Amino acid sequence: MPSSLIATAIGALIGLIVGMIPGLTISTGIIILLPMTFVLAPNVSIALLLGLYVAGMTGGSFSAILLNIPGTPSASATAIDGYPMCKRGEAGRALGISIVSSFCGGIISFLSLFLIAPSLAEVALQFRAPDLFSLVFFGLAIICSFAAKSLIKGLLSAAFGLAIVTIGQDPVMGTARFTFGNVELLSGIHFLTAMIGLFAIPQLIDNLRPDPARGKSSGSLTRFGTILPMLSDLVKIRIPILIGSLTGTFLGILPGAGGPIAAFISYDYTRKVSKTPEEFGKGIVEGIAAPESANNAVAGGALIPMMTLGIPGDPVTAILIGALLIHGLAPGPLLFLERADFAYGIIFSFFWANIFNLAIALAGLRILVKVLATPRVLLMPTIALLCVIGSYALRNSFFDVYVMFFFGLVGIAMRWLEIPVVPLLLALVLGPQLEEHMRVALTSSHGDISIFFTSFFSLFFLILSAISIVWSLWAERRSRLRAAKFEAGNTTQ
Amino acid sequence: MSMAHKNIAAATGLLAFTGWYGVLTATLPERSIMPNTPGPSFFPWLITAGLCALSLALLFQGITQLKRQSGAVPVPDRQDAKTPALALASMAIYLAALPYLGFVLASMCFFAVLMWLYGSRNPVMIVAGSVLGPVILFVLFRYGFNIILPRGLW
Repeated sequence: MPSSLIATAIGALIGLIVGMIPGLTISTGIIILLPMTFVLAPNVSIALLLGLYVAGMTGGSFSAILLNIPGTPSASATAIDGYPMCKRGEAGRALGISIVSSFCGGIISFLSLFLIAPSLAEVALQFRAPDLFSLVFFGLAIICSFAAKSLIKGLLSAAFGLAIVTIGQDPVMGTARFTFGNVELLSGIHFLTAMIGLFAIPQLIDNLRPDPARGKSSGSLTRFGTILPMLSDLVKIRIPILIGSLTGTFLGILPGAGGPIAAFISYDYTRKVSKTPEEFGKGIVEGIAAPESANNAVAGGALIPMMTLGIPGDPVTAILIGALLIHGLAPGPLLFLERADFAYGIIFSFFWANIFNLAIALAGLRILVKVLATPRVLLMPTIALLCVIGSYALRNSFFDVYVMFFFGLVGIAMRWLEIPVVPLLLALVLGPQLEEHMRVALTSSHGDISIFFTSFFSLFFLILSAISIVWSLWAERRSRLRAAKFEAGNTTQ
Repeated sequence: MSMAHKNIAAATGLLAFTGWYGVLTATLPERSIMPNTPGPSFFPWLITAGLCALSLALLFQGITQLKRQSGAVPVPDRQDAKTPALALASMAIYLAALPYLGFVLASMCFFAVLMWLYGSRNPVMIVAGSVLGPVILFVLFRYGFNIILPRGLW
């Protein structure tokens, strides 16, 4: 539909700008844009947000290359080779490689989404309550394993999120829980207001701290040559793009892995298989192509579990689930069955998002980078007001605004204590399902917990959960032993 | 503050929360669809047990880290806390005033304070930004997206 295409293009433009600005993450950008989508049709809303999501990944590379400040965490690996190229006077070449690699990564993950999602949805239709419980449990377990340096802190964050989710009416019997007689709490804590507080407020506070890197000269911002890649460069980056795209798509499917992990793994693996690994880090096109294709491929990969299983692959897809729920659409296998038009609409909006991302970035790069000179003193207060508007607009309630502020304080405390926020966020999204499926399963089995172990899919997901937890503990212990060895080595010297 | 101290602080806070949450869970009614099936308090009890075990694990981890690092000089945290505290305080005042002053008026004051905290010292820019910013947002959301914003009591 034309309106969806226009929305995708506008979303891509906004995404490039949001992604480019250090201190503004894609999640924050989507949260800010979300209130504007309340009045739009569902397909237009999702198209707008997808455009932002895809282009935001690419936008992050612009400031990474030009200023050595990644605009988004996913662009951190791009700066390793991108900035040295910029210092050598090859900023245009680096930016062009970044844009084309992002496009290729996005298209490859689109193909995966198009081919895998419908089949996975068919398999997921066979899932019963115990299988769904174990699947959601696996989603949370793997997020805690990936998202946290410390597994205990990741699990604590998730458990805290689950505790928050129990506020309101219980999903099976409708009993009021932890409401203290307050009517506002009867409908529970809306996860979008919690999300705005958890992500945006700490970001605003972080930006108050002086950062010497922000005062960098913007002289390099418009002085770069042609950005269209040469044929010789395209030949050089074909293998890194393939590695990045496949890595990104696979890791995007795994909840919690996300863009930064995919970008670094892809960069590392490309370096290992390269004939000139010693050149990485000095400014070579392969060092940009691998992470950039990976982080855009993550977007398509993350949409697969989101659409077929209702499990978000990363915080952005968690927000997209929220956006769908606001419009009365529940992601999951039934989406393909009951609203196949809408499900395929999302898939093709993702395709067009990559097309518009490529076109707008190549055509408008020289103008877009001027955004990097936007005064922070105007941008940050505007974002603060947009957070308030976003929270209020959801249910026209001041209570939601106060909840947003409370979670802002929680988010700041969690950052200071180095407790990851992502498991809490995903627990807020998945918690209601987790409880509902568990209680339905136990009710159908008359309280017999063996129901979770006698179903093939349920047992499979529980085993995967156990593997991810054990692997995380082992990795943590190995890292601690290495650190202790290093310290001991330094002491004896 | 070292990581060990932070872990102990986090664990203590979470244990206190878990205790409170457990007490509230004990007051939930016991009812279920069928005998031997979980009621409304089942899931909260599982969470209470999980939070308790994990908080104790974190406390143990923090104490172990503290013992390992005893004798080491902790690196002082030099990050400025005054400006963020002022920003949060001004946001709290803004949110309290919002229902009474309305979006435009309350936001103008808040916007000006934030601009100053973010480093602007140009009075013309502060006045212009704090007037135009909220007004533009109000018009955009009220008339562009049909989202009703607080009008205040006046």
